[in-house]
Amino acid sequence: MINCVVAVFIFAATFYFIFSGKLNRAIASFVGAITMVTFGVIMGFYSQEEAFRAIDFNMIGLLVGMMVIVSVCKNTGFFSYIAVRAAKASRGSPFRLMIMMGCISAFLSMLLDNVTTIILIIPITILICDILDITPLPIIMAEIVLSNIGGVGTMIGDPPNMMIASASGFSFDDFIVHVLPLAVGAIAIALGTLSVVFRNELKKSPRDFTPILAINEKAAIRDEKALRKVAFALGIVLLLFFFQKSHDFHHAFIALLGAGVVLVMVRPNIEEVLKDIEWPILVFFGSLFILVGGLEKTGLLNIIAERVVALASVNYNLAKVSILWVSAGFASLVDRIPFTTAMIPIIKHVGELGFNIDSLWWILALGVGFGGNGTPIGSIVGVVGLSMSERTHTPIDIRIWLKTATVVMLATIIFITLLIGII
Amino acid sequence: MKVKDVMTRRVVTVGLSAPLREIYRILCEKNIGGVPVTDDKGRLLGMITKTELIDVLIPDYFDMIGDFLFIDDLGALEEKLEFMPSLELFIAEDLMVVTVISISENASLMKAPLLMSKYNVRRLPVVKDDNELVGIITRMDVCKALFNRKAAQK
Repeated sequence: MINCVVAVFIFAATFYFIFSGKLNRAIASFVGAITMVTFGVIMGFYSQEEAFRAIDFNMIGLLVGMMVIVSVCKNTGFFSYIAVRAAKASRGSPFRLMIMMGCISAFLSMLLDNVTTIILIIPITILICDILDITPLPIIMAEIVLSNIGGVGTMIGDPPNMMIASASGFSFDDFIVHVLPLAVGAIAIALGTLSVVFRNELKKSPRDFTPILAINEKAAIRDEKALRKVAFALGIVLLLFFFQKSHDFHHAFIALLGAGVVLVMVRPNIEEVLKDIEWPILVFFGSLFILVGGLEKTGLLNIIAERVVALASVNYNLAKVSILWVSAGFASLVDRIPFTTAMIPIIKHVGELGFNIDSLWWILALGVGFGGNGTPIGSIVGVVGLSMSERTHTPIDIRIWLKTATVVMLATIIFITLLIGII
Repeated sequence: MKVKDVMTRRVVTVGLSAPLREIYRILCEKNIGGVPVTDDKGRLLGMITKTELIDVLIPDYFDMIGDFLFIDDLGALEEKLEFMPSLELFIAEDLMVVTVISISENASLMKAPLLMSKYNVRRLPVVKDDNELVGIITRMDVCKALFNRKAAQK
């Protein structure tokens, strides 16, 4: 019992520092993990070997592999190219531009890191809007919201999905079958909502469309050869993911293989590539795995799992809806990554108690993914997008966020709630 | 040779509340690239150069776009400067760079080009110990001093 109290206290204190922002989240989780292991070893509930085993290297390897591929890809100029192509295809209609840029942002977020997508796509969006003399606000909002939703759609779209894939053993095509159609539905809901809220802004047509037509988008591509090579490597990765059921390679191996192919073919400056790997995030993940591992060893998570099972035996759908809304709430108000890390062992225990947990994994992924749109601090994409919009003459404020992204979050979560029986 | 032997002693300065138009007029009329901002006791507070003047005239987000050099025609952005608030709203305090690289009047002259190249600035305000502005030293001052000394040696 005393073990449980100590572990919960360490866990809660760490989460307090992460969520309050009083300490950098990587530092807070690192110190928390060390404290957890120290007390675990002294009090005998958590050994150092168990702490090492708690780290999901399959997930971390997957993340590192994708980061390397993204790092090489972002320097090719591809994002500017695709933004200009979309602008030309929109023929100057803000509405069409919003739909296209939103869908591009969703699609890229499915394959690449969401934050990188946003950082590269928003500046060129603002510039194109200024060239056309239309307001960038609806388009930036669509990019942020759809980047979050798109990330939910695939196994490699977002870290929570990577964690869930690694813990559950689901493969890339499982995500395509079970989550992608729902993400596409959510994208449609989001675009519908934004079109209604921004109907006035989207009416204004640009005075002069010729400057956009004059842009040579091919000039945006700085390194065409590198781009082809990245596309080739990404193709190999996707192919291997797609046929994962017919071979034994883990997620991490496939992504790292792709990274290896990119590095050998493009031969970028390795120092630069390694700098682009987000070490604080990796430290954060590793530490969280150790922290939650300690909590798991005290048996507390089993107790929560038993409560979930008790609810599920009475009404399975109610249990699913509860997990969905709690996940969405956590994801929108605090950090979804620690929450997902803590939920994973709970869902595993529910499975060990004899329940079919497949749908619970999907619901967790959808809840934390769509929930990220709830508030500007719900996802890093939101935080970054907001600060970038502050440099335009129509910054996103909390009022705009509430009537667009929050509405989208509620609508998409309600959408999933309505379909809960078939998930 | 010390900085104080070479520096320009008669420096044009502005106060914290100097309006943008006034600063622009000074830079144009005196044909100088930058002007120090001082308080009423003559202590150095900041520095405004042409870079800061240009920065208020271009959109804030420009420094986020390293990629846009392939676009030549900036369309509507070219014609109107609507993104920019009225010029009257800006005073020296809003524009100035606060983390100024300055040099002590007693420092060796050779230190000036070191500081200039390290921080990529063209001019250094020269200060006394209490941060009181006593002069300014530009690349031209350094160039003249070093060149003349070398020429005199021959």
